[in-house]
Amino acid sequence: MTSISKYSTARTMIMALAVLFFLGPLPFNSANAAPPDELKRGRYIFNLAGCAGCHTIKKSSNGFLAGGRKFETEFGTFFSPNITSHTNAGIGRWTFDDFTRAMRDGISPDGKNYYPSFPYTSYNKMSDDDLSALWAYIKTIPANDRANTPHDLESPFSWRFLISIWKIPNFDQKSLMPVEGKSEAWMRGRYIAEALSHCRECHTPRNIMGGLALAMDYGGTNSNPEGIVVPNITSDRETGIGKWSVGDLDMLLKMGMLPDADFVGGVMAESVTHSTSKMTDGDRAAVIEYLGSLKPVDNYIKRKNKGNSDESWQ
Amino acid sequence: MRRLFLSVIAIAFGFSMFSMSGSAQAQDAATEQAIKYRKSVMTAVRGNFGAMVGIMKGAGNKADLTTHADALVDLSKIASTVFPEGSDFGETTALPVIWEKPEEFAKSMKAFQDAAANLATVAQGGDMAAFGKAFGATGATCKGCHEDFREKKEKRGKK
Repeated sequence: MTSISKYSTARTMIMALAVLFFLGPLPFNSANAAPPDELKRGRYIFNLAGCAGCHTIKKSSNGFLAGGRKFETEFGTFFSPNITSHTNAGIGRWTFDDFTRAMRDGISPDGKNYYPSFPYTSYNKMSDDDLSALWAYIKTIPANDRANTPHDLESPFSWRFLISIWKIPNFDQKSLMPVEGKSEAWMRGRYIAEALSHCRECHTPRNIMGGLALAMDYGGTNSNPEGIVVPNITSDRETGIGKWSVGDLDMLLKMGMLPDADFVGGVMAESVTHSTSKMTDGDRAAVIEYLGSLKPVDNYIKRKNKGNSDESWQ
Repeated sequence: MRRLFLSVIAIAFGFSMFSMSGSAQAQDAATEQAIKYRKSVMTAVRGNFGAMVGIMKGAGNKADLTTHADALVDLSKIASTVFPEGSDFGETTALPVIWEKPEEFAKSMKAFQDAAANLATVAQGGDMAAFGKAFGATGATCKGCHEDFREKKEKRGKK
């Protein structure tokens, strides 16, 4: 009797040790195990990628990255999802592979297409290092149990399988290749603008299918899918920002001030708050160098809120 | 008699319609003026801001920073009076949320006024680094207000 009891005690102990062996490292390896430097870098990538803007309802104290922000578009109403570490409501059960697939392929862990309202069309150009640093940081976001709101779309936009077809012409899987004769700073600037801060998603007009009209790259639009006026930021001297100085762009990205001392509002004000004002001086300069090199696109965008000089007042 | 009665009613009705549309027109004109005034005040804010940037970048006289900062203090007070109720229709980019959440809007305005007052105080001291910082803080209140209360947005479904 005693020997059986001893045996079972030993068995329990061995099993417990085995379980500890397998589970033990987990708490250290998950949330907090990433070295502080990597977390810091991840947070920087997080800022430049502007995740907080869409995944947080403005001015709500209870929901950092808990999603639920509403986007009314021509295709219907989208609601951003909860990306906190909550295991049910958020992405707490995701593996790094799940995260990579979402960011690179626009596909959820259960194999469904994401709508390109989630700008994976830009994020897919993110480097491996940045992606893993970003993941390390995102895993540390405190769990929030806010349940996701389903998108409210009308057919055919509600048919997710169509996104697979949409992706064929509109989804460039290639990463950013070096261009001969361009400086390191230019390439860094292009990487930030196109992979992280996804400037194009707003500043490039969209074609009838909602894909980027790259012939008009960065040429702006008088009404994007959300109905927002987005300026032309190409180097065109008449309709773009070709007359701006480096200092003008620096002021805009640093504090949101335009060359005429007006301050940006709306989405760009958010981008300045979340992203561009948090760039290192070197990165900001790189973005400015890249933007300055954009091919001019002649596309006049009406500036609505310009004092009494607004055309409609003449 | 009945005919007279009806025509009196008809005339009265017509007159009331006329006077109603007259007052609606007066209302429109008042709104238009309110919006024009608002834009002019905001242009003045912008003008003083731009002038300060110019001086910080080496143009004009440093001593004049106080003039522009003081002007901004006055304008920041006026700014809280240029959004009368009902002036959200017409050629404006002021968002209805200004009137839907007046307390939040008042808080934003107060932030602007406080930042401008601080900027004017710092300008008196003549320390350019401190001025730059206070200038940035004031600009942040402009951006903050524009972010929430002014949007480059067409009304959905209008196009």
